[in-house]
Amino acid sequence: MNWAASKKDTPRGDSTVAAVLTWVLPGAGHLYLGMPVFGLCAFLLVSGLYWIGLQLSGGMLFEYLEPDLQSNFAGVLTPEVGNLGALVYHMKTYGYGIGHMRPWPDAMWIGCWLTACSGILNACLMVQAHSDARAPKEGADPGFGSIARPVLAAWAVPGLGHWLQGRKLRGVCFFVLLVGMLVVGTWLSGGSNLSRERHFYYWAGQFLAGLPGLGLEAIFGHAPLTREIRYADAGLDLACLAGLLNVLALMDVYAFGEKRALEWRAQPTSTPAAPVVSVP
Amino acid sequence: MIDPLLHTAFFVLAALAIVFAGSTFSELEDAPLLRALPKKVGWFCLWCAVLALLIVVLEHTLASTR
Repeated sequence: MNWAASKKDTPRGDSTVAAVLTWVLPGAGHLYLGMPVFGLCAFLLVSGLYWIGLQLSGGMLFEYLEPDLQSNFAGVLTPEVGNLGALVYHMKTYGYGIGHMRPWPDAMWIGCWLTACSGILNACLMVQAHSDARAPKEGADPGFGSIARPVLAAWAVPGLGHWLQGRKLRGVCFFVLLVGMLVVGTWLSGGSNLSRERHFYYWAGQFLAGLPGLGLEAIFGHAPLTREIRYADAGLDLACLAGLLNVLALMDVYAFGEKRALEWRAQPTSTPAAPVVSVP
Repeated sequence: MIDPLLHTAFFVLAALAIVFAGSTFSELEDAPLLRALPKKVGWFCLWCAVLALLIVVLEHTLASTR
């Protein structure tokens, strides 16, 4: 048996443990994998975003919910669940407020954005930890370390992850369809679909379509409603569907990156993955 | 009164996105994916129409309060 080659192919750690540790505490998975500097930077970024979000929103996010929706598991369907430790801290410390309505802080919606972004970032960090754990302890990484970045890009702008992987036509189609649905939905709803206060869980769905949704919310999402909007429900459904379908795009980007890394690893003389050229 | 044509247009837009996103897993190459898309969207719309018809019939026969 070739012991040197065997050691070279040994993965850095258990990928499930690395991902779960990251879910509970950002950066903990990379600490477990022996990457403390990356882990510390990731912790500061992800937890810092959540902390700033809490300060700006006064921790009042879950006070958006109607009393009959306020349960112990209300946070499970929010983007914040990607950062589980912070979400549990949030629920334990702030919960559902003081029992009666009070004015929202001025920067409430920006605070809610930041806590939600922290959850998504940590989910991508989980992908990174999971992939890094599968890379060989010694020797060249066949591409596991570069799986998470296109996934994050695909969340930020639908189609961008495919584009970065060299699948440009598919990326453009995703962008046109999903951002198109988001824009049509927002137009039909007159921007009313983009308020987290009004549509708490639908907002979570739309948030999965990334920065285009946030941009539309910044422009149209906080205007007062002064008239009946005829197709508000249809618009809300379309915009939410765009975000949910982007999850399929994220999975496709992840699966493609993983397939490339596994193919490179299977080659007898594995070398780092080269950029893939789009197949005509 | 809702506008049926407008709702059909919304449905086709949603169907296109759903079928395209679902097809990315079955077709790894871009060209066959786009070639097969119209047929898949057609089948999707057909079966959605059958389901809608079935629901209307069931609602009319089983859930009618008249």
